[in-house]
Amino acid sequence: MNGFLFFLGLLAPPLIGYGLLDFFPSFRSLHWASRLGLAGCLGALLLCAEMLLLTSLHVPWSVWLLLVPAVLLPIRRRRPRAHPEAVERKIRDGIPALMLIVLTLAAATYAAGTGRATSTDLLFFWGAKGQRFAQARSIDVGFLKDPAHLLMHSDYPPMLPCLYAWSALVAGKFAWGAALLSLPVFLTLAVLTFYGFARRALKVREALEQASLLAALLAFVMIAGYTAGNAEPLLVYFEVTALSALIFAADRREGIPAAALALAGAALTKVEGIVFAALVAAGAILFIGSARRWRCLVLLAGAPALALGAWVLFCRFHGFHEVYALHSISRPTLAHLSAVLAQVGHQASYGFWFVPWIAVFILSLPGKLTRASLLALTVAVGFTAFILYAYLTSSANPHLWIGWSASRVLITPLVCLFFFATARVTAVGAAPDASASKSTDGTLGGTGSLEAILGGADGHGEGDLTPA
Amino acid sequence: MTAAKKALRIIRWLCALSLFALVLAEITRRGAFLRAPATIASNSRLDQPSLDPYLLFLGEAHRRIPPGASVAVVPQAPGELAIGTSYLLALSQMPDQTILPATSLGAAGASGPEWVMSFGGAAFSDPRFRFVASVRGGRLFQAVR
Repeated sequence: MNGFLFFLGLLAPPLIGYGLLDFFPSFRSLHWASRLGLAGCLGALLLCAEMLLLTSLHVPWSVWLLLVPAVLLPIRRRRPRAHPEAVERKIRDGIPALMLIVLTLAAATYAAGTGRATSTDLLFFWGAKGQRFAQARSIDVGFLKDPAHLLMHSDYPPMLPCLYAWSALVAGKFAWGAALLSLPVFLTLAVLTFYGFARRALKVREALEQASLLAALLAFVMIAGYTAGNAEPLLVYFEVTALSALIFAADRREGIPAAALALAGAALTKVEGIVFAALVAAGAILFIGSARRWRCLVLLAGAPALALGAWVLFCRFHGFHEVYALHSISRPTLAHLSAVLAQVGHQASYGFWFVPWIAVFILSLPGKLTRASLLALTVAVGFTAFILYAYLTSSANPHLWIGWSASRVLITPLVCLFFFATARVTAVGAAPDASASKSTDGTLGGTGSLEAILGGADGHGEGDLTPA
Repeated sequence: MTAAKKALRIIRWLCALSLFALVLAEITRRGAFLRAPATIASNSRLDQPSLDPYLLFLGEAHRRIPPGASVAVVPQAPGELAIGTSYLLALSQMPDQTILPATSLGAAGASGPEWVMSFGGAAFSDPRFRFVASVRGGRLFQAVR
């Protein structure tokens, strides 16, 4: 019973965040799938923010107290419902892809549920923190500051421990087996969000086929990388949401705010999420033109900076400074360059001849090189450089560190390359159904890419084809 | 639909099906179907020593040691940090007890731990503690007070 309630707690963020979507008028035009996905981002952010605030005010957490804003805020803000979505009559075309998605998610659930993808970091850090936070009904400062817990990194971003603590409060105790199911939960949310955004730019069948490919890609690397219970599934969910919004909807009102929310979530999930958010913001500067560039930058950089700033302030106030003490980071050395490259290359194969990389490489060959695709490519390259830089800062040979982590951190550049391929193909093949592309606020979803911003809302300009 | 688009669709399907096949391959590689794992780590990290025996011992110790008691964890290997693997796993699996690293054994009298746990080949001998039980490959000691 505890496990079931814990699992329900993991499923709660989309329900908690759903009512809050009305605070963003532009989100009313979202496809139901991406609406649900974004609601999950909002719900997770709200829970994390409440937990931080209540801890700062020395108010013990409880399920009902944490639910108060989620219940009260939408009532005050009640607005006319969005127009119902046009029924997707062409879903029949996508049934094979839909079946593959369902089978993949079922396989991922089975793999996670039977301990086949368990990350031991769940036992060492993520779960231990979440369990302790739930017991203390606060972000337990004494626990984090204890020198015996040095290896847990006291000031590491708190999103996942907070979500685990929330689920433990719902269940009455921490359920280790149910925590593993965070993998299929966040994977499902990522695929749903992607489909919702892709559907605005692509036909049902193509959107579902792309979503099935993403589901299979993520399921494989997450299982092969032992990520169940770890923060990667949550991070990837935020990354997929941010990139989907930017690739398919940057020219629509909801695109940039949706990406900004997801980046805030990423920054609160892992240090890698902070780097990802910074790279996406930098990519926006490079590849978003026109007067809207600065507004986009403010949102894309501001939201994660605000979220992370609140956490860093909390840490500083309580005297934690480890991860963000930039002056204490070792300088990189080339002494282990060849070992790092060899080890990272070995881990990147995922034990099956680099199949995930080969798949995204082949799929990125056709299509057009657009600014949207270049944004995804820039983030992939930048993130890979960050990974190598991090390993090169190790004073000793980092082979153990790489063996432990590389297959997981490489998921982010792989996701970016998937979006690189998707953006290229989308630029050529975008032909959305009128029923799906016509949003409820009257705007038209076009090919759904950043280049539309360059030349204004009509999508004309230099961005359609930018040769390398 | 143009020939190029058809080709792209076929390639996309081949990629998706290949990746799905790899998902199934990974599942098959990591344990027998329809057999419930002993612990959540049973089928994971086949390239590393299994955590199962230690996790099962911790489960038993959690049941036997009274809630609220302070417990010191002796590292399993000579080179292991006092706040390393053994300690962190005990911390997560025994939430009702106060888990302390082996360095706490240096404290004398009432401020020291009430219980000590050792597992596997970890040797422990201290006249301040009496042997209580041997369970699932580990040993439990209680302070003589």
